[in-house]
Amino acid sequence: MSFLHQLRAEWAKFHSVRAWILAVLGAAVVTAALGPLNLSTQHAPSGGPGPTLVRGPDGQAVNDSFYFVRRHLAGDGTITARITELSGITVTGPDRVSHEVQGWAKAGIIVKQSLTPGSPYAAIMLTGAHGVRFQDGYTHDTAGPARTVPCWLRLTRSADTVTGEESSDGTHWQRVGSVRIPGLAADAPAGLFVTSPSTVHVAAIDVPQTNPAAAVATFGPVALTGAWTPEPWSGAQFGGLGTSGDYPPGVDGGFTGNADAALTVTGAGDIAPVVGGSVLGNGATVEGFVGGTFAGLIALVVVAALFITTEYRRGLIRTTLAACPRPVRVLGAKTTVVACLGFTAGTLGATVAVLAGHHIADAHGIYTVPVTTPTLLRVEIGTGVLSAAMAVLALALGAVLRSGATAITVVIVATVVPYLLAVSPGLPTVAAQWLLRVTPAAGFAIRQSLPRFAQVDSSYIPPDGYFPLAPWAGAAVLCGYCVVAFTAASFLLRRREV
Amino acid sequence: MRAVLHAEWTKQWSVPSTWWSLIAAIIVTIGGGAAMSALVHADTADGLARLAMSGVLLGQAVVAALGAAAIGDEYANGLIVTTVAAVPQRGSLLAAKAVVLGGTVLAATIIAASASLSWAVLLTIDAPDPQPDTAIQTVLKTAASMALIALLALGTATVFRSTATATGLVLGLLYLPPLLAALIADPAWQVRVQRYAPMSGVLTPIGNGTGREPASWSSVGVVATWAVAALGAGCHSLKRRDV
Repeated sequence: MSFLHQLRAEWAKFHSVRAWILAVLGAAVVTAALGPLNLSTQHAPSGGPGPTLVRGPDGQAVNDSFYFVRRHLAGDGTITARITELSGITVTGPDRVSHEVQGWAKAGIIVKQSLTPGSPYAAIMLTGAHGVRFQDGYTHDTAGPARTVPCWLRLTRSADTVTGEESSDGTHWQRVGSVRIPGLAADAPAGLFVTSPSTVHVAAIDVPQTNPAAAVATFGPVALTGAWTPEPWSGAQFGGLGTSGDYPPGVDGGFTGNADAALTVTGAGDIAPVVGGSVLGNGATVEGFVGGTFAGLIALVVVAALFITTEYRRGLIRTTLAACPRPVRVLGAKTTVVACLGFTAGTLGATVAVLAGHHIADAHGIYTVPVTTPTLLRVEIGTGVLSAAMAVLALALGAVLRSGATAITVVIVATVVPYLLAVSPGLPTVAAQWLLRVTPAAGFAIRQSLPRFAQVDSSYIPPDGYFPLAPWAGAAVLCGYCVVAFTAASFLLRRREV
Repeated sequence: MRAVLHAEWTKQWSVPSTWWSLIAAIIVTIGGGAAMSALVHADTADGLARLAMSGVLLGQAVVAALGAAAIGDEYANGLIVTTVAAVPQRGSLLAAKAVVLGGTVLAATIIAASASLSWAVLLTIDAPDPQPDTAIQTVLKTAASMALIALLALGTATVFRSTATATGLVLGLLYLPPLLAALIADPAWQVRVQRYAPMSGVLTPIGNGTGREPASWSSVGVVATWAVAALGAGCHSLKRRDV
């Protein structure tokens, strides 16, 4: 029998058992329904709906909040400023105020496309602990020299290109970065900015703590050349505070002094992509919508294991192997059937869950962290890949062990228990991360929808939805287990008599 | 009834898989607890007991599979026909199975739980040792919950007449509530789901915040309710069906 014939035979065997078809349908239904159902028990946070998240140029959630001391640049021009001081204000406990500056506190010069939060920008800045940076488009971060105060910064606009330079003495300049901002307004808002995200303290075991922080920067004489509109400097907090910033009690944004001599600016917030973890708060995430997958996975694992072990129980395997004397082809055909069914059930279920989840979250006034389309597709297809891989693992182990209950127990315990332990607070982060690297639970990384950025501090730990492996690397670990199990099953099927 | 018990006892020990399952349950329970006690720092007696019992998270799965196999395998190999012919009182039959299985699992898990706790006490230096009566209670509650989980699996397997299906269902009942509870933002629902789930009787480092002392006797009562409901359903199906 050719492989296609074998495939047809196996599919016929599968769909002749009504309970299995119902179980696969059930898996798709619970995958689709449980996450949104969970969401519908949730009430909108007290005090109205959560913060309206700003979307950046690429469609992802961003923070665009800082103290902005601005004028307008109606054409080409430059702005040069010297930063003489950068410090911070953080309340770390009752009556304990620290003046240490947050590592990613930012002070520098910015040009924005418009005054709409989330609009494109380019900025050259000095950071609290990461030297001079040139940033644009919220996610792009170019490192300059690792300087501290004092240092000179210069931003040059030429048509719609913005270039950032820095210098240690004000005479020898070095270019840090340059970017084209299409549609830069004729009179683009530009000026000085100061912002600081809250400090995040990730202890080994305890729940991560965030403390509101502000940054205070002193700019030396500010020199302007080019087409600046004649107006005084005006200052205001731009774009609220976002998800990762907050002023400590008793501190407000503002500026004092004179641009010709020295200007001291206090600010909080962040200009950066939104990340998950303790800085996010109670938003709904896309992977929360597909949380029902676990129930679906258990159903698929049971069906896939039974698909081969009942043949052993009923002796059908003898007939099967007599009809097709090539055991690996039989196993391949069975694997193809369960993988296709798992993939379809998982992907369909996840697609419905994401649609329903968004709808219910909106209806309940819960904000959903927006994700880009590729990420959304990865979550949906990833759920299918996860379902298919778990089904294949259960099938292969069923062939190895010839006992459905044992195969099911091994697969569920090897996957669900490490995941459960890793995402529950209590385990040390290092142990949780190793569990999600070496066990089949690594595969759940494929559904991580929250991004991680080096230029944003957060608690990037498993309980907050962050996996130690990249999405496809995690899926590869799970698939590695499938390959090993499949190889072992092929070897044993060839060697054993039945 | 004595004869039925004797028959079930003989049947249970006539298959080597019973030995293997019990040994596996004891090893993973002790091993999991030892690993967690070595990895995680405990500074209270309660924390120490929780860590020591974390192996139960693994052991309960083995015990569930064993419980499901106690009757599911009879359906798979056809022995059930002989069994019901020999013991026509099907209620007594299931009761005898429950007593034999429950007693065996209870004995094995008392060994596993006391070994885990002793090991954790030896290993941990900076946490105060649990009071002797608290320690005994912890061991008994854990072992009782494990035995009741085996009975829950026995009842489920009687209803579904399949070891594999029953194992899958019981593992779902055990592991899904804590996973789904983590997704629920509403604390009231989170407590409800965790409190009335069959795993609530098991003292583990996870599943905090149920609003009462974990693994109290009342949470063992929750597991008992699940087990009784499953056995009741199993008894009903067993009496109503031909086999």
